[in-house]
Amino acid sequence: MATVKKDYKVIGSRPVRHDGVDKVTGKAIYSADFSISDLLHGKVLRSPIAHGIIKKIDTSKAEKLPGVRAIVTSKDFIGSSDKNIETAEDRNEGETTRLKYLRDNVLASDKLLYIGQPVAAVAATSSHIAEEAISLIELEYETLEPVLNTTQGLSSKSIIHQELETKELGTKVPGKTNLAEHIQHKLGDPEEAFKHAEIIVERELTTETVHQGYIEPHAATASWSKDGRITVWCSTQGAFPARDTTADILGVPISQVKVVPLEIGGGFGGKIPVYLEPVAALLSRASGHPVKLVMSRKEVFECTGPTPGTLMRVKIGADKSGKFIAAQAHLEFEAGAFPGSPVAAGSYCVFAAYDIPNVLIDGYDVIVNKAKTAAYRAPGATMAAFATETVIDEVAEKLQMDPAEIRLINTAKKGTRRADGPVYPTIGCEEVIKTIKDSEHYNSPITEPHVGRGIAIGYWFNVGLESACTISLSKNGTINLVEGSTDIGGTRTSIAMQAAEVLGLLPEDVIPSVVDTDSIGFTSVTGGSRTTYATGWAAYEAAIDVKNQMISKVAGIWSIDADNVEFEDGVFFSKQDTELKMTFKELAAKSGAPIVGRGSVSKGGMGAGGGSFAGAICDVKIDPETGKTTVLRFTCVQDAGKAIYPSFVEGQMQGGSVQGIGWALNEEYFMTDDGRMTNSSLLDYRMPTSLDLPMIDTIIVEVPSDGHPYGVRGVGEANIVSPPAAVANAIYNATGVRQSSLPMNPASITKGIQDHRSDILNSMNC
Amino acid sequence: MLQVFIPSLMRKLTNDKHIVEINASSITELINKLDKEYPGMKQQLTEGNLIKDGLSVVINDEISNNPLLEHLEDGFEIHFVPTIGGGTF
Repeated sequence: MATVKKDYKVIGSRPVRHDGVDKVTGKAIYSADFSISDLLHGKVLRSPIAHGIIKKIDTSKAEKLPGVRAIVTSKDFIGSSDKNIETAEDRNEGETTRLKYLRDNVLASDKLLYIGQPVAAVAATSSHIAEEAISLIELEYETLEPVLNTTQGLSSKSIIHQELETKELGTKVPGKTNLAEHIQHKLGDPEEAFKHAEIIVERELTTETVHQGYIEPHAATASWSKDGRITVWCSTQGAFPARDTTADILGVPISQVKVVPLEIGGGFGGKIPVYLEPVAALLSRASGHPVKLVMSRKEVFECTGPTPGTLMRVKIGADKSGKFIAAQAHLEFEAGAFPGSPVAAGSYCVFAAYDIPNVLIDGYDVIVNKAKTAAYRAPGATMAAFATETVIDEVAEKLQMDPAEIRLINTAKKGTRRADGPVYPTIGCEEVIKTIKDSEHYNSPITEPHVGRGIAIGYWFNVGLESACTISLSKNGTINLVEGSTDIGGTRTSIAMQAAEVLGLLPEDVIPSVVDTDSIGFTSVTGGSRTTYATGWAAYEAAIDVKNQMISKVAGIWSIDADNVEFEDGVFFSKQDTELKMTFKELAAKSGAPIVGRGSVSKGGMGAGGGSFAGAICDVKIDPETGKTTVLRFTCVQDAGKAIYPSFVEGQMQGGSVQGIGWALNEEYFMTDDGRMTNSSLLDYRMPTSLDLPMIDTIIVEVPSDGHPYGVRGVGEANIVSPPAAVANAIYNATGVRQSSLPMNPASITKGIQDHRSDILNSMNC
Repeated sequence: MLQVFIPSLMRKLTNDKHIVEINASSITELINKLDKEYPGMKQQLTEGNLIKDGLSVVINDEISNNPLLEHLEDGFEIHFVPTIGGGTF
């Protein structure tokens, strides 16, 4: 067990969250709320076509409009008179290309690569004037054939980036292409193993582009001072990565940029990239005023990074007992207009829940004329699990095995070697499957017609990365905890609780603050399910530091050796003299040098703590006439390692499940043949609401992760991975028709049922 | 000895050997010895004195944030894997 002790006072409790009152009373400041004196308002001109060459951008008419204070294009990035600005020529080839892609995604330079790509931006005294000025900018372009999916991308002669070559493990394969990267993992000898399989199931599956659907649109305000210092107030999942990327794009040192993270209204991975921040900064430099840019919902849908559409082929071979002996996956993911789909993550996760000795996985990152994809909650894993878990369900059916049993006999465990090579540390996959198998939900009878039940398992590897915290002790015995992790899901409290546990304090004795990039050490993104894990670990280290300093202080007061001082349940005492006791608060009130604790951790990349497994049980009812799916009951089971704040863990499980159900049943970008999204509003992009779904039941499994002081596993993502496959398997059991594409909307279910009926009639006629 | 797992796309350099055993205490030493035994490995794995962009080093079961600073011990497993983009640049 990785836990320090089991009888926690604070860990596992459900205190009032620190950010709760401000958020429910509307006092919390989000990025669009932010204001500052002399503020100008900006708007962005965006590409009207999916693929083309920029011939001319004429801003002369817009410049003459009263109230317009600045107009910028990509030319404002390079050739600046500011001596601090590096040009692309200062960098190596790889960096130059990366920098060009970064800049082109915030202001296009030579080509138009997707509808909605920023081309120019205006700052004016009002947003209405800025909008009018945008309409006066004349953009001339030559239209090229757009590439809109991976099949087109891999076969098209329309090359999107002329300089692009396929990367294989960092090495370039010569030749013009839209294939940015080929990934391969191989374990054992899958080709030979498939020859010995009793049963092989192979299917091709697809998924559509889906947006994270965060409620708060992107917004950023920037102020470029005369001394060259740039301050950015924005909504971001990572103030430090936002600072670094903004500095990179602007070509200034990171020390010149300060990012102040405001409250964030959801991100799910979509608020890791920067879109508006560098543009607001350029407008501020050009106008001499702070400038604020706020996206509309339409801009959020069309111009920020969704998760990609995919085409996948998965093949699994099993022996008579149901043991998987070989597996193969071919994963094509749309990158969007620039390299970097989550296909690498999908490749890691596609068979991660199972112990399979012979595996071949090929992943393809394909450039298409759509917005650059961004991370979305367990990026890549949900699509991959939809493919794998659908095929596994079919293998179980053909072998007449219970779906939970076949997963259990193949489960990954500590010591299982993954296809990418490493072996697992302590993980909770087996415990999650067993919990599903033994649950009341799984064992309850299904009595109604057109009702089906499905299960699926999902994995997300989690990351560790860098985090820093400081703790200052106040004289009244409370502590101020300063951290760099932007708080999306209540992490102020889950981090504060880990410090409180060390110091014998109540959670309300901790005053947590999320601060700007000048005020704390580098802290990586709130993403990868890392914040409660890694920043919590940093808070634990800072609290240990405070405790040790207080032990030294009290030892000095008592004139004894620090080794003779113990601290338990909020009381310092001498091991040798039972009369010598002092409470934490009493000691805090004693004068002396201020006590400031420091915690800083770097906890590895992918696979931190072994990751988290989650599973879903889903009951659906299908209307065979309309194809409408009603989710009757849904249970999410997840290994949290140790649930610091169980209500937050349950909230993450419910949120991930709901997003996964939306992905399964309704959500998709409707795209025209010329690459235009036609449903870019929350009315037409159909995310589930509370009226659409039953209460999501949750079962927390606790298999402590190796290493972490409390055994924490991040829980933000694994819960979204299995729902689409669980829903698909439930729909199959309700209708007898396998679904091979997401979303499984009424039209596709009705068509499947009709085709199935025709097949039965045809076979009867034969 | 370290157990070095060779990625499938690099196995042409090791005559399809999946695992190579090498004695080294750092990643730099490991790569130099690997290159001596299987010429071309250094070029595949490094650019300048750094691990090539797009590659990550897994030591035992976790990706290392600073592989060149890690001290390697007898029995460690080393893997070279593609870097996770995760939908970001």
